[in-house]
Amino acid sequence: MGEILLYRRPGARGWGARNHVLVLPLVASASGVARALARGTGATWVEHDYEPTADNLPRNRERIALTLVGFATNPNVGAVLLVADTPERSVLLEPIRATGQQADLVVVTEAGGLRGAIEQGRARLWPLLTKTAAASRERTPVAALMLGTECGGSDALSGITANPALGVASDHLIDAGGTAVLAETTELIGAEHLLARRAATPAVAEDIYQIIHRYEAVVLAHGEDIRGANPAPGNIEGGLTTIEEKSLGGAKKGGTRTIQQVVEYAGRPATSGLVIMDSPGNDIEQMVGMVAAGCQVAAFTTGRGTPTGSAIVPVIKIATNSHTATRMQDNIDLNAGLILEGAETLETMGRRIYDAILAVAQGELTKAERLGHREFSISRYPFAVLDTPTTAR
Amino acid sequence: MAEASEGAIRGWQHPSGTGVRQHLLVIPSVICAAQAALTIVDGDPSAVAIEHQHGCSQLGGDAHLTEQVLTGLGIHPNVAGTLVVSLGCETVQGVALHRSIVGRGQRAEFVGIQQAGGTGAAVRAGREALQRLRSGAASDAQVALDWADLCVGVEGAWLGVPPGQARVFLEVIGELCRAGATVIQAASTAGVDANDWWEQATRQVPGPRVRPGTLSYATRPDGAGVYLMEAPPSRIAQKTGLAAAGAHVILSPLASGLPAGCPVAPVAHVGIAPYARPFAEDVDVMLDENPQEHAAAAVLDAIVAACRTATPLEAIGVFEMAIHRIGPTM
Amino acid sequence: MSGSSSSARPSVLLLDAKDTAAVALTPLPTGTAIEVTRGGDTTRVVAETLIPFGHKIAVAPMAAGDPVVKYGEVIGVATTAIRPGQHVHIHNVRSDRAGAHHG
Repeated sequence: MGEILLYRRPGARGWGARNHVLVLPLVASASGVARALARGTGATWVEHDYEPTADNLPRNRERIALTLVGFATNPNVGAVLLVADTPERSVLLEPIRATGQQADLVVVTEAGGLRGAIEQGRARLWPLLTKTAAASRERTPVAALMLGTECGGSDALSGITANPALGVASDHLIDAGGTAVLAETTELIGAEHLLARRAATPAVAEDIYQIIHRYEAVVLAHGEDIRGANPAPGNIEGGLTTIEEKSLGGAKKGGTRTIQQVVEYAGRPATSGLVIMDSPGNDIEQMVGMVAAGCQVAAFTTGRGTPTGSAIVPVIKIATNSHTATRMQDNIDLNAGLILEGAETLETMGRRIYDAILAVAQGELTKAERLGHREFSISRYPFAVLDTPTTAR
Repeated sequence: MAEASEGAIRGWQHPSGTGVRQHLLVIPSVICAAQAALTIVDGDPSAVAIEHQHGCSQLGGDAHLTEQVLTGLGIHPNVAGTLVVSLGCETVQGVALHRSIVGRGQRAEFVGIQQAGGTGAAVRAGREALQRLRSGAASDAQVALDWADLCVGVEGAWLGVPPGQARVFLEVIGELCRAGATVIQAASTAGVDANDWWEQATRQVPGPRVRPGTLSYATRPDGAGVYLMEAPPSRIAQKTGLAAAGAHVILSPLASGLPAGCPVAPVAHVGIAPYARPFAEDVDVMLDENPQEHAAAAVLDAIVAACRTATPLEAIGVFEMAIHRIGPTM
Repeated sequence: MSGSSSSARPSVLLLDAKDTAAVALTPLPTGTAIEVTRGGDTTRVVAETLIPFGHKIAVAPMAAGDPVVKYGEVIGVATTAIRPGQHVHIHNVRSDRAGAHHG
């Protein structure tokens, strides 16, 4: 099957697997208003804790702006209503509209306070809901898909069942002309030499080393032992001994294809194929980064069972073992534990995952979507501690 | 201050202390458990869930801060009972959080999503746990509270407004002290000696002089008095820290941003004109550029009113709560 | 790459012929004998203590300071001598990633 049904979006935004109307607060204090106005309307929303303060670095502001604009213009979003506290905060409206995205804005201080903003917000939401309802899916090559890959709540089986199987699926998608994103820089520490060997060019290999060493340096600069956070206690209980072991197991979900590019957090790839995104290992921040870069579908492997999803992107949950797949069946879509039982091979499981990616892209709901998961958290610029006065802006 | 004297405020004697609300509080120990927590309280007016973005992939300082704040909220005197919802694999261990809340004497329950067998099972177990907490709380005695029983948290934004408006807050703090209330003033003192910092900050402000003690962030005071609590400049971080320190009610000057409530403590909003004029409908008191003589009394009335009845922001459920970030998330 | 006991379902998994540790696919009580095949050779290893599900069992001897190999790559360094059949985990392995390496 070379073609699938997706929503066409104007300009370079590409094709969407969903047709959400999103209410997006631009700052933490607007989150409450976003929720109050979106509830019950059919629109989706997110909440977060980002608050600019006087000492806010330019690099942090840029990272956050890139993330918010990318999230608001992900092709799964048919229209977006931004919620700002003050007029100054609404600077993102123009860049969002410039991509061809349908966008409107509520500024709370101009709308007569909180309750005024909720009313005005709803009034501006209705036309967006009506307009997007008219959209319909069209046939397009599978190459239009960009897949976000992630693992969370890993155990020793993550690198044996679910991640390698996902890698097989990732290889299928890339062979069909699509794009797959491998992220979680901190969780690649220990695997960088393996990945660098698969880089398309020496420059890409250098980028791989650079982003991984940079994260290591950040942790050291904070005087912290990286083993304090990784592997987490649940990982250790599950059998993972060192961060290298966990990283090698994690890197398996990137499959075997050539690494074309290393992109910054929330950065849109300039190419198709396999790309690495520089992101923290934190599950939610990583997902937001990949979604902001344009991923329409995500596949998320889990050993111990983590329920998180995304407000705008379907997240396919793949358990590493049958125990978790059964215990957490409310939250798990696929069971890679069948490999251990001899019921599937890595190849057949990988094909199952690939088929699920295509089905979900075309409208099949994931468990996380059914349960209403909408976790959202913005990654702050992590490298300030390394910047010297000559390199910082 | 006749309004607040002689038992004008109704309170409840909870295991965690005497408070002005009877909330059941649901705390996800990690962001991945937040959705389950929200679903558990959905449609239940007696329960409120906290949302935060932490507990996962944090380095030592942040992980410790998250636990400290969540514990402080879990044992808050306004909270009749706490349910900790955990995922199972996170750094701030849900079980440890529950144990530390129980250890401080609070009525508490625990649900683990992975242990329960997924979100559906965890939500069912969570609702049953809330029912048990509710039954336990039904026997909490009602008591009459006076200023001496109350702790008022004050956000720091008033310290940057013109002296004419700032003096109202200093007057309010002075009156609260005189009446025996505990006052916690959140401020970003950046390690400078507290009394020097306070002198400096209030030099231009006419009004009564107080000498505050010091508290680190999100820490309960030992006894009555005025305290300066170290906090970042962020208003949300100050609100969260004041709540975690046990403030029954929070006084929030609105000089920037949007008004927002707090899940565990009612918030009395004082709008600082001209900025806050668009929020005339949302604030409890609007402070003109040249406040009148009765302004301080109006603010004190607003604090009492917030203690007595649900504020409009509590009614529409607009809260803000966040644990500020020390280092980068890993 | 494989490892098995006499039943149809594998009880351990060796991911690469160069590996010095295999993963237990089921808890292995003390005394459990497993067979590990690398290329043409089959080795027999006996669990010295209980190896929990998902944990590693040594399938080759390692001296203190030797690499622990899984996925055909170095996942850590033995902190003490490890015999085949012993549990390989945080009590006898340390990470090698405390500082940055290049190339």
